Parts: sequence; C-alpha cells; structure tokens
Amino acid sequence: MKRPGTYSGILSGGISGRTGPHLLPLARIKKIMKKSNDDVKMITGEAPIVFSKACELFIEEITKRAWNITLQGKRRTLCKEDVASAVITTDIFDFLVNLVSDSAKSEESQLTTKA
Amino acid sequence: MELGGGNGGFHGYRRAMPQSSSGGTKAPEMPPQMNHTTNTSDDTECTVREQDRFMPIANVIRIMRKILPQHAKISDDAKETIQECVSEFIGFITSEANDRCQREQRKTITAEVQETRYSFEGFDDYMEPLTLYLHRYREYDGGERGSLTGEPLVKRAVDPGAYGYVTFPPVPFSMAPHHGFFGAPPMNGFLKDPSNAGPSQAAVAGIDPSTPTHSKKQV
Repeated sequence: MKRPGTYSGILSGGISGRTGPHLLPLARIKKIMKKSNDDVKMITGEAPIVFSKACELFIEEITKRAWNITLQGKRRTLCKEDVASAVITTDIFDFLVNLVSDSAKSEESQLTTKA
Repeated sequence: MELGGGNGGFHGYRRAMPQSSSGGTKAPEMPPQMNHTTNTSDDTECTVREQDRFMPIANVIRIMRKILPQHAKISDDAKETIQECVSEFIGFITSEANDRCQREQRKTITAEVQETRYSFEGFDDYMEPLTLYLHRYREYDGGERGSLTGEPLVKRAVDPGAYGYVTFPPVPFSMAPHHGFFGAPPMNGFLKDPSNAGPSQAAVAGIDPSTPTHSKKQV
C-alpha cells in the first residue's frame, strides 16, 4: 500500500480511492472539454489533470468571494445570490454573467409556471 | 473579448447533446433515449444531462467546504450554480485556447496556449500553482501510474488536417509573481489561504513521511 505522498496528503482523505489523487474526476473533465468544442477531438496527457487543479482553484476563489458577500449580509448561509454577486463584481468571471442571470431567469419562470 | 465560439454562444454545448458518449465515464443510469436535447424542466432529463455536463456535486461541495468555516451553510441552489460555473469554466478555457490555435493556424493546443488563456483571461494567479501542481504530479505519479488514460503523457505528433490536441509538453514556466489571492505557496508549493486552512492543509503543512498509511480506526 502506498504511503501518502505529496498529493494524497494535500487533498481530502478518503476520496483517493474513487477519483485518484485528484478531487475531480478526470473522465468527466475530458467529457466536458470535448463537448465544449467540436474541434477538440482528442485530449491527451495531463490536460485533465491540470484542469482538475484549475477547477479546484476556481471553485475556491468563487466560494471565497461569495462567502465574503454572505458575511457582508451578516448571514451564515451561502446562497445563489451571493454567487451571482461574486460573479458580477469580479472581472475575470465575466464569462459567467450570462450563466448566473439565465439561472435566475429560469428560476423565476419556474416559479411563475408553478403558481 | 470573445466569449466562446460561433456555435450559438458558449452555452451551445448544453443544448446540443450528441448521442455518442465517450467510454470510460460513468454511464448514466437512464437509458440512452432519454438523453435527447430539450430544455424542459423535467427532473429526469435534467438528471441525465447533469451527469454528462457537470462535475459531481459532491466533489464540488467538498472543495467548497475546504474554504468555508465549519459553521457555514450552503444553499442547494448555490451548490448547483457553482457546479454549472465549473463546467462553464472548463469549456471557456478550452474553447478560447482552441480558437487561438485556429487563429494561429495551429493544430495543437499546447500548454503555452493554455497558459496564455489563463493569463489573458485574468487567471494569471492560477498559472504558478498549476505549474507547480503539474510538476509535482509528474514527479509523484510519472513513474508509478504513467498516464492515467493509458496514453503517452505528451503527444506532440499532429496529423495534418486532424484534430486539436490538448496536451502539456514539459516546458519550463517562468515563475510570474502572483497576487497571492490564494496565499503564497508554502513549502510544498500548494496554494491555500493559511487563514482558512482545514485539516487537509494541516496535513499538507506537516507532511510526515513516517505517518502510517493505515490511519483508519481500528475497532
């Protein structure tokens, strides 16, 4: 049995058996990469691995920013609006603006249809 | 700044779900004929699409909880939103890198292009930790695992008129100064805000090679 190395020690314990030493499943990352663009036919090497780490950093960053907004509102529950605010107030998250606004619109439409 | 290619916007890949599914991924529990392209709010169809399009929500939550204090709570819609954002992030970087390759008439999406994308789009804070991460992965797993997918780690050969490769040749990266949003890389080069260090990070900070692997409780 391997002793915990740099990676196993870094990441949360107990998940290494499922996704390897990465927090996010590489196969899923590859699938999303392929579907994002038809021109990307083959994904080789360490691309999903780097993406796994990049996604982790991304989640951490957006969570931090959203949580700061939650704290400003003196709340303890991080809600979707906090995420949306974090996206809107962060320039590098501009590509997500449509996503968070579409989600809000679809939610409103669902509430309208249910009423 | 372009946001995605010309396939109906960046969200195009959600609406057009090809029937073919790559092997090696978790097979959806629903039969394949359920995986047709609609934007209905049917929960069954949404479940099938989510399995293909998004990161597992449990993994996303796990990463979020590393950042948040223990008393913090996360609403379900916030989890789902971030889950969607991650997929958008992956597709965004991939598409932008691919577009750049096409503009430069290159067939290979190399690590340099990926780097450029991260930097251009403002994710330059990611570059250094990603570089270190990749190097450490190669040191740790290069001899034991080889390629996770059974393919060579580096694939340079490009057939004319063929596909776009996403590969990362071992290129020495310059250690660009980063703004330290994630905190300065500690001794192990891993990015984490020390003020929010969780148990995993504590383990990182003090990696003890003599720590027994069988750390499970012995009942």
